[in-house]
Amino acid sequence: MEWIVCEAKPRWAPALRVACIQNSDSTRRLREVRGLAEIEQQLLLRPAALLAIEVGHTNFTEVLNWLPGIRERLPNVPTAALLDFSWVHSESPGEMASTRLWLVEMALHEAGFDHVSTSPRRLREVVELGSRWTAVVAKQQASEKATESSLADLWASLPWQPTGH
Amino acid sequence: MTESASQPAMSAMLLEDAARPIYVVSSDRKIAYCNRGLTEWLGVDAEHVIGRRVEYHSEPDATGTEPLFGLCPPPDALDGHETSGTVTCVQRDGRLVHRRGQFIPLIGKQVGANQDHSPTEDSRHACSVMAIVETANLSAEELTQNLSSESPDELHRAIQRFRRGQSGRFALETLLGESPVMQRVRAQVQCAASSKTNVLIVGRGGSGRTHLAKAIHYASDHEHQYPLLPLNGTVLTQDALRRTVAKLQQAKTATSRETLLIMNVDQLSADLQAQLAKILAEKQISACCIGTMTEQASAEDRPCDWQNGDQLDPLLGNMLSTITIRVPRVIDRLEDVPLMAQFFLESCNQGNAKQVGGLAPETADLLALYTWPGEVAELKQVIEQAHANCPGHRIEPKDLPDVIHHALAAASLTHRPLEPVDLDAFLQRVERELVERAIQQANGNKTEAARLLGLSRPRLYRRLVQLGFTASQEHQET
Repeated sequence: MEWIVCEAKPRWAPALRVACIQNSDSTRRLREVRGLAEIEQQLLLRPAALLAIEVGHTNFTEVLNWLPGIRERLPNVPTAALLDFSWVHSESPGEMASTRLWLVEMALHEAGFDHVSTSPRRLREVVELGSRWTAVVAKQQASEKATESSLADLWASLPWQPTGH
Repeated sequence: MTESASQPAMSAMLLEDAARPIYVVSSDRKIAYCNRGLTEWLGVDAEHVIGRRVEYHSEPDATGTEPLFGLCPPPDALDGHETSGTVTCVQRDGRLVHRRGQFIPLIGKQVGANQDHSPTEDSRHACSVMAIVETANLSAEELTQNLSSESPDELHRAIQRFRRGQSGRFALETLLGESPVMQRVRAQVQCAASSKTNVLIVGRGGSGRTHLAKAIHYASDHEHQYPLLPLNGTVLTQDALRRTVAKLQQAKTATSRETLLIMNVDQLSADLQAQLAKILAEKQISACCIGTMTEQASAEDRPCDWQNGDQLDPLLGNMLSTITIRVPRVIDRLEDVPLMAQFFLESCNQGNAKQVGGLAPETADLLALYTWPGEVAELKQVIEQAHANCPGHRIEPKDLPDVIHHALAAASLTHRPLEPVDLDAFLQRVERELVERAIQQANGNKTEAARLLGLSRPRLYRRLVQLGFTASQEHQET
């Protein structure tokens, strides 16, 4: 299981690496890409990867229109939006900026993001999202394995295993 | 006339003669003043403009018959913030003309008591706005550039466009099928959309539960385009739920109609389900809540009988299931399969050089014979693969993926008669296998084998005799 981090410059990926280590998730691998088209290529190879996409003013509309298509194909894969600095620290008056941020966050959620992060210093929730998804996948795999052969599992559960049987 | 008395008249004259169209919209969104520049641009007399109410459209289109509909300042300007944006007018020939405009809030005298120029709580919701419009029309390129540059007006526009796209994508018409079960589902969706109440959608994986939920939201909100907030119950954490509730509370107004969509609500932890039930019971949010959950193949009409041990909290089930919609299985509406297949086929044709017209009758027959365990999602996938495989203009049986052919071939095999199972013989086989393994593990030592099996040595001997171990076999084991 790995994160695909899409951003223009490496800003979030190093922070996410640090957050993974700080939250005892050091095994998580990160793959950095620079555009949505690259994500599509990566998803063909890694359909269970987790997505983290930087969203700024330049790609806001593009991401809004792109993500619903991906969610249709991969409805459960966790995705996190990483909000560009300028959304959060705007020169607009306080209330207007917070209203705008609210609008942006709601629209991103509506497009299919599970989480919207506003600062590279606040990535704990993103890491938790990944951990939870890993647990879900592991549970699903265990459940599938269990149904494969209950008799084989019965034998496998013996405290002593046959040698060369 | 004194100097002070002549100043307003002078100002009015300057405004009147200004080359730029200038107008003032009062706090109740009526045009209070307009100069000659504006009437000339609009091509109407001032008496047809003054006193007319304007409504804000972030992206006016030609369907508005009212020539003044594009004059309304953006909401931020009416809230007391100077801003710029696009002003649109419909010319006599029906053509839309766009110009850049500056919107200046007139805070103070017109609004009444507050003379302070900083927007306060009172003034923000009641201020007039002066609009100064540029003289040159925007070209198509300039208009597009305006859209892509950042301003709150353009942000609204981008979001509105996105929501409009979503409304089309999840329109009621996309709930395909003319079978009685689908007609009932569509009626339920319409009922849920108009009633603005909580809804529980139950169905199998791939049956389109989320699509149905979104269809309810977008059908209920054509005009205002309130947000839809989807949460995935599979990965939702306590923190995320708390943040979501806070976001919805931030939006809480008497008229708001957000929708909280919780996908796989049955997979939420017990704590989260209880928390969510409490939030809904105490009406901490004004949003409507739609939950989707998995229906077990044999589930009855009880919302607590679900697969994988996942349960729905009875209180949460009660809160959500004001309207319960069961998404029918494809096998229960096979008559809808050709229609759905054609829809997916045409979706594949969109933006694709290859254009496939439809299904051959034999192909449609094969699709109707399949059981569709993966529901609508599987049908869509099959059609996409068939579209990719199809060399001609019609999907033939050979273009369908192998899984369909194999499943149908298997189904056509004659069923073997069900033979009874001899339980004693079966269990004896299992016991024999276990005893053999224990003896092997103990390298033939019966005492050790008996210990491994939790038996006494004499009892193990008796079992060996009962299981038919011969002396030679025992010797072999030893």
